[in-house]
Amino acid sequence: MTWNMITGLVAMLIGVAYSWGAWTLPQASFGSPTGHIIYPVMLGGIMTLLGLSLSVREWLSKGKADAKASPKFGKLTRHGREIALAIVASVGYALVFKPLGYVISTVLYLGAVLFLVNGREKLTRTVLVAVLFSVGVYVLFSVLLGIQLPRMPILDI
Amino acid sequence: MNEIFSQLLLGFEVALTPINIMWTTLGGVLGTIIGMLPGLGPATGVAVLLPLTFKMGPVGAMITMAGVYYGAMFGGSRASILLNTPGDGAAIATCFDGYPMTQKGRAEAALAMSAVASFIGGMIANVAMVFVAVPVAKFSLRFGPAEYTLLMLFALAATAAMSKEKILQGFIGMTFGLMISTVGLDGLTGVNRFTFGVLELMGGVDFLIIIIGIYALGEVFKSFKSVHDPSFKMQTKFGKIKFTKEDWKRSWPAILRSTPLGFFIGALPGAGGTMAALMAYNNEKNISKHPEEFGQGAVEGLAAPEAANNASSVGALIPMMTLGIPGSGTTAVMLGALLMLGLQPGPLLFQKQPEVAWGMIASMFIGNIILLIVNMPMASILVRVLAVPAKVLYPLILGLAFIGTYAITNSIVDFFILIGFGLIGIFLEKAKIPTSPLILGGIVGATMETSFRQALMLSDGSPKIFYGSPITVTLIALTVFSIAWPFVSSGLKRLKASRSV
Repeated sequence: MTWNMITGLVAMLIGVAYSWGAWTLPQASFGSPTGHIIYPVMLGGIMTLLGLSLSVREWLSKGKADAKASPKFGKLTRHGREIALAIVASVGYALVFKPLGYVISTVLYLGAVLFLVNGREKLTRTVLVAVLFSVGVYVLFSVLLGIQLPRMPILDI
Repeated sequence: MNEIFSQLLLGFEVALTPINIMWTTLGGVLGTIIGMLPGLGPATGVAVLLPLTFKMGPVGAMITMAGVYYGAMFGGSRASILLNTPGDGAAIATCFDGYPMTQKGRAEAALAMSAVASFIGGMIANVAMVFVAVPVAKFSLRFGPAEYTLLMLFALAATAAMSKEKILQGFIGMTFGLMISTVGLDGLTGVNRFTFGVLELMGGVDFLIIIIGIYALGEVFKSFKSVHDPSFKMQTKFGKIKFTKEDWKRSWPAILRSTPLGFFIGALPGAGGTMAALMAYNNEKNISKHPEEFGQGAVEGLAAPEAANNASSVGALIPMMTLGIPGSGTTAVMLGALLMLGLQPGPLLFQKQPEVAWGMIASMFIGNIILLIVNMPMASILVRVLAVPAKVLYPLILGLAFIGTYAITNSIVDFFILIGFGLIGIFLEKAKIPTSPLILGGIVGATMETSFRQALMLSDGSPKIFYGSPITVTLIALTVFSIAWPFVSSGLKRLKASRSV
């Protein structure tokens, strides 16, 4: 299965699901009753056709597939593992952002990502950068730019 | 003509106030720094730095954003020259001769020449913009909803059809962007579309978040691969940043030839800086008396793309500013940022808020001079940013991406959208789907749908409104042409090749 084939199939899937979603939208109580339906149904149709063309073209041109054209499954590379861990850290950050407040959650998040790429070496640098960045950004945004960031719940700073 | 000069004078009165000079400098320098970082270009810079402008008021915000935009074009070449890693697409052609110059110990000359070429390209293009902007804006006042729909369709099709091999992928990306723009409360009927009952989605998905997701998060994730590369070392000690008389003699004709080319390509929808720079480079190589030196550190091979990509970045602002329709992913991000700030670029901006439109145009003259100063004597200080280990810089960009998102929408739901699009960014790269059509589709999508439906309401549902006037027919022809062109041009090349054999 090549990337193009995957793209084509995903596009078809999105196209059909989206058209169906648009088709079943309720009619409008004012304005044109179906004006908001026709345009997305058209978009969905176009997407389905595009996906279909890409899949068919890919299916017809079979034979000269190079290694890069298909995704490799199985064991994660170091790079893939780092991305996965960074995403997990990001989701965790989104979850603790409000409860812990900006400064603490950001120190933890940046610390985690910095540790992820730097490993055990230069731990002081990791900690220093994470703390300075978090405090600096907090001061810049909430004091100078007047953008409200979640405060630390206990200390209220 | 007098009108243009009096308006420009008004612009300079606005742009030359101390506070606005400061914003120009701030935007330009920050843009340069972001532009220098590999993988991060003007689009990321504008999206991530947008929150800084929230308190500035419309004029200051516009000036700062413009500074970030062309500052990033200046900065993009630094990493090309010193590391052989382009800061963004438009700086790819700068690697060809810029890096060989560094290898030969001429990094100072390369940095100086790229700054001067960028400066001249940008300045001449600014002058051209002053004269073109008003006529275009006036002409577009004749456009109704049908004309606008088709104009946007043309811009979208031209962007999606940029390469023949990826044409289907380009249109898939574009349609996906258009689909995302339909999420939320429909303005014309008040029906919720595709919100799945999530309250936060009623206002629609904020496209700036998607841009930060794809460009900042996605790029940083992808760069994790290169941060462990030990060969990622650069020269940190420099002599005086200057070039020789001989360099200048070889470069100035190339700069003057490449500037109008870049400006013109930039103003066309779809093409943009990457294409302008590559065309300028090839052009110089073809007419050069010693083409064999190209790729070995020929100084004119560095000057030409640098002048072209800065001129094209100014040219690209014309459709965005005067019509309100961006012709590239980067200017689409600019448009999104300006809409976020409550500014509606387009013909009416020049009439109703001339101090904003002309203040920005005037500030670009000042900004170019400031950036020349920043990039010549102070270049050796600025490029130290590149010496900061990537292992520290990239995690910080992630931090900036999240805080930027929160500042724009104040909602945690958008953090998940952000992460989701970071993942989609990785997928798009693997599947070779270009990102520009997607971004463009997402940003103009809502306006295009509204225009489309308004046109049909005006005509009582008859599609004739889309092909009944000379302007609409021209636009349709242009759209068809832009889709067919990649095929026609490759066919012509094949024909030529078979004849010459």
